Amino acid sequence: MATRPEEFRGPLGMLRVVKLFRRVLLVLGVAAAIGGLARVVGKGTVEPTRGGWRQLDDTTFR
Amino acid sequence: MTTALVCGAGLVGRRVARQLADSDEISHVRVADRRGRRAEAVVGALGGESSAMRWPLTSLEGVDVVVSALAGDHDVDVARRAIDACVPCVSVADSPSTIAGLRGLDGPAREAGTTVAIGAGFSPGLTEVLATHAATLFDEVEEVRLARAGWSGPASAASVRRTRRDVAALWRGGKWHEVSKREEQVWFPEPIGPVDCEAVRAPAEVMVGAIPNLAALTATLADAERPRRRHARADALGAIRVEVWGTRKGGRDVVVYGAIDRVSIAAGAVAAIAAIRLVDRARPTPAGVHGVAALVDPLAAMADLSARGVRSAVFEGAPIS
Repeated sequence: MATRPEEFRGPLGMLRVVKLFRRVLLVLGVAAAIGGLARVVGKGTVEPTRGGWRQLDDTTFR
Repeated sequence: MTTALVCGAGLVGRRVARQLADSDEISHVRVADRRGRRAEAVVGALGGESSAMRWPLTSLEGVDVVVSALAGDHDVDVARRAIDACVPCVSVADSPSTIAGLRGLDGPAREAGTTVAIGAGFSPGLTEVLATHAATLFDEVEEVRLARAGWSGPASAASVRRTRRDVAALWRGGKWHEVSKREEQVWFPEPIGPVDCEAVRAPAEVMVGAIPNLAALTATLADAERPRRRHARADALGAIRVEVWGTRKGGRDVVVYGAIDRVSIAAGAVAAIAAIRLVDRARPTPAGVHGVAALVDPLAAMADLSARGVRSAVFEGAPIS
C-alpha cells in the first residue's frame, strides 16, 4: 500500500484542520451555486405601482 | 364677547393661542402658564385682544372655553377645574395616563352638563378627523390603521417615548388584545417617507367609538429622538397616515389619508377647531368626555384645517397591469 513520504506527513491536528477547511469551502461553494441558480431562475416579481400622495384640494371638501 | 383661555405657553400652546386669536369666533384670548414670563411673551406676540392669566388658576369667570396644552398630567387638573366651573374644555394631551385620567372625568362632566374634548392634537386628533371622514366613504368599515411619526418639543418627545413603553394593544371584536412590540415600516407622505413604527394603544383608545361597528383598530408610533439639550425647542416635522379598510360598491377597498406638517402647528389648528366648536351656542355639544371626531363634522373640519394651512393628502396607488 502506497503511503505518503515522511516529509509530507503533518501532525494529525493539522490534517483535521485542512479537512475542515476543505469542507467549509465545499459547503460555501454549493450554497453560492444554489443561491445563484435561485436568483437566475426565480420567477417572483414585485408588482410595479403608479400613483402616490396627492394633496386634497377644495373640491374634496364640497 | 367670547373668551378662550389657553393653559400652557409651550410650542403647542402658542400655536393654539395664535389660531384662536386669528379666529372670528373668539374675541379675546387669555394665556396662563406656570412661568408667567412665558405667558406674557405669548400675549406680547399675539397683541390685540389678549391678556395673561395668573397661574395656578383661581377663577374661570368670564372664560367661555379652556384649551389645555400642558406637559404631563396637568390637563386632568385643568379639566377638573373647568368642569367645576361648567366651562367646556379641550385637551391636546396624547399620553396614555393623561387620556385615562380625562376619561375618568366623564361622569362629573355629564353631571355638570359640560363637554371635555380629548385628544385634540396631531394624533390623536387629526388622525381621528381623517379616519372618520374616510369611514363615510364606505358601506361598511372593517379596519382602521393609524400611524404617527414626529413630536413637538421635549415634552411631546417624552410623551411619545412613554406611549411606546406602555403596553401595546389592538382593538378587535369589541375588546383590547395585548400584542407584542414588533416594528413595522410605515410609508408616510414625503419628505418623511418610510419610518419604523411600533404598535401602541393610546392613539387608538381615543378612536374607539368614533366609528360604529368597527371590527379592528390598530395604532403605531415612531420613536422620538432624545433632544441633546433638555430644553431644546425642536419643532419637528411630523406625519400621520390613516388607512381605512372596508367594503363599498360590493368589493373590498382601502382609503389612505396622510398629512405632513410641524406637529405643533397641526395640533394647534385641531385644538382651535375643537374649541371653536365648543363655543358654538347654536349647536350645543353633548355633555361628557369625547374624542374630537365625535364633536366636529369631519369634512368641515378638514376644510377648516386646509384653510388654516394644515393640508391632508390621499394616497392614490394602483398596480400597472
